[in-house]
Amino acid sequence: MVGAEAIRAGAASLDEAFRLHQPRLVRRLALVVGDAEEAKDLAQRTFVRAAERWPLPPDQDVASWLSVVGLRLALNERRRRKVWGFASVKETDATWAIQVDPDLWHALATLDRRTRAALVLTVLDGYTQEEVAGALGVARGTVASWLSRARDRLQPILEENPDD
Amino acid sequence: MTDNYESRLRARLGALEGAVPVSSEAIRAGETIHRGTRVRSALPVGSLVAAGLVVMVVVGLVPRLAPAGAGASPSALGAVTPGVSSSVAATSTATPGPSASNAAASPSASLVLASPMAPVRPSSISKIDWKTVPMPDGVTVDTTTGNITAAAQPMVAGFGGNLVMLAMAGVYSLDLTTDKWTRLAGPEAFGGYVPLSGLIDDGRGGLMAWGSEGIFGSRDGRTWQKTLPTVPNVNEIEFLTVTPTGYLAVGNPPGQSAVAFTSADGTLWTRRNLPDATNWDAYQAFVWNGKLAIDAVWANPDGQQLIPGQVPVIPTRVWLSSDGTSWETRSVLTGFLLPRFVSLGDVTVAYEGMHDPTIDGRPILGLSKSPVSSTNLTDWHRVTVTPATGFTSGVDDIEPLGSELMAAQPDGSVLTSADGVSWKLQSSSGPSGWLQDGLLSPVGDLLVDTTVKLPSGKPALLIVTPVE
Repeated sequence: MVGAEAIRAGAASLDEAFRLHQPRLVRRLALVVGDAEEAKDLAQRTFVRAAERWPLPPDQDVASWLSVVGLRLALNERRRRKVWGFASVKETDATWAIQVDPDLWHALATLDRRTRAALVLTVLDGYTQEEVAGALGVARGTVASWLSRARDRLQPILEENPDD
Repeated sequence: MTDNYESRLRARLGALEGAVPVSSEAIRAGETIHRGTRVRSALPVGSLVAAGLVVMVVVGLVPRLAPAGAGASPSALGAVTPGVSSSVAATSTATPGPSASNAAASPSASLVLASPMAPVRPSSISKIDWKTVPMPDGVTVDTTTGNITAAAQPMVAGFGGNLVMLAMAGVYSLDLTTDKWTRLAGPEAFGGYVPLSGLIDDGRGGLMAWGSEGIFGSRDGRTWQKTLPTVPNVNEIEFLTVTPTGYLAVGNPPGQSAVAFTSADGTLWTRRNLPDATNWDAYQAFVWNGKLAIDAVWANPDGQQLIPGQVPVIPTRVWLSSDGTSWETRSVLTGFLLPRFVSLGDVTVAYEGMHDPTIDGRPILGLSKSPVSSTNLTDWHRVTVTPATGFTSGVDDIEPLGSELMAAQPDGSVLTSADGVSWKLQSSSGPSGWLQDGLLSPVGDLLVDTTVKLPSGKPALLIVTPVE
């Protein structure tokens, strides 16, 4: 079963996957890309990719697949995003973050996307550095370097407000 | 301490994550809003789709989507007679980067009619030959994300009469006579794996590769040395090219100006500051007429409002240098979202490097499909997309093919040109769909696409050969 047939047959479970995973995926991606609107769009694109490949192999963890593809898409956006910002949709509006934790948000903003992706995958998702390296297609040492850089930036923030 | 750090960070990241506003708009299985689009160098097509739709809904333009190219703003592109090449010019010179507001509105950023063009040199390529070569076992091609790195799409270059390929699984050499592959090195040659985004013949019997971790060099394809380590705040080398005096690389430090690096030997690199580079993103390095050239896109820090169906008037600049030390701003070209440049002698052709996002096959923004050419990087000459010019479905990629240029169109048809002005539609088209996910890479006198698949599903190289 391939192509459209597979997509139609798997539609119900894909819908279910969307309901289960889309909110979490958007939240994770927003931490990485720094923008909720872009995160929603990336999540949408991730599910389009999923639909094209649905059903995923039985041994494939759907949440992991979505996270990895979503993060790869996010990293692929890279710096070009700033070239084509869209004032009309307020793509840089991050009041949701600034209201909650402005210090951490601004510190995260000094890190590049790859570092934020590695941070999210390790700290929130519990992946090892080796697993993150495999997911993002870089050497483990590279991930370690990113996380070390992140720690240099974030630790002072965390120590300033240890109760937060 | 580690536990404290991680637990505090986890808690605060979790709080941030919980604050992200999440809507629950539905997705339909099999939705194809992005099918058929391809992005060069990681452009935010999805974002364009989303933003474009929002704007279109607001202004009520959805039912009136114009065909690609037809929606281009006449004021931005100049008057053009269908079927006939026209001449346009970009305003030149070293004007400071435009402000956020005038980037879109400044009259000086528009193309205008210009002087007559150089004499036409017709294409002498009579035929295009194609062949596919299966990838070696273990090499994968991942077009899921559209990443333009070796992690997704293998990179190729000429090397010692063979073709060398850098893939996730390692470095391979292809004997072009026997189509036999030899594995030269594994990922450990780069310390595990490095997400390289380009590979070239260094012109001195070696290879150079570049990407987010700097520049690597190799004399044999087996052992690699990092020659330009990651520079603090220069996260990524965007492009590298061989020049008459050595090498030219460009990068974009976050929050800083575009920078260039030059090297005479590929080992010792010197950072070069570019004039008036604030808020410009260097995109490509190339050689024009024996000079070093860098093109850069205006990176509007305040965002840029796009109008569906109208080509954005956002400038692209070319920096030019004879020695790599002193640079001049040669021209400001508008009318494209993200032009790609390809140079052949004194001819430079620029074309839209980004696919117009589509919904059900309809373009959203109406990006220009027309290439422009110039012999002085100031006056630009545009070819229209009409059956008369052979450009029927727009430009997908333009690369040097032997002594000429080859333009590939999304429908698989190709055109060749010796002057960038007159184009010859070749009778031989590529395999169906061959360009949908691919990029062409010049390798000597050949062009190679590393993203095609055989009917069996096995990934393969597509090798394009000109016949004169």
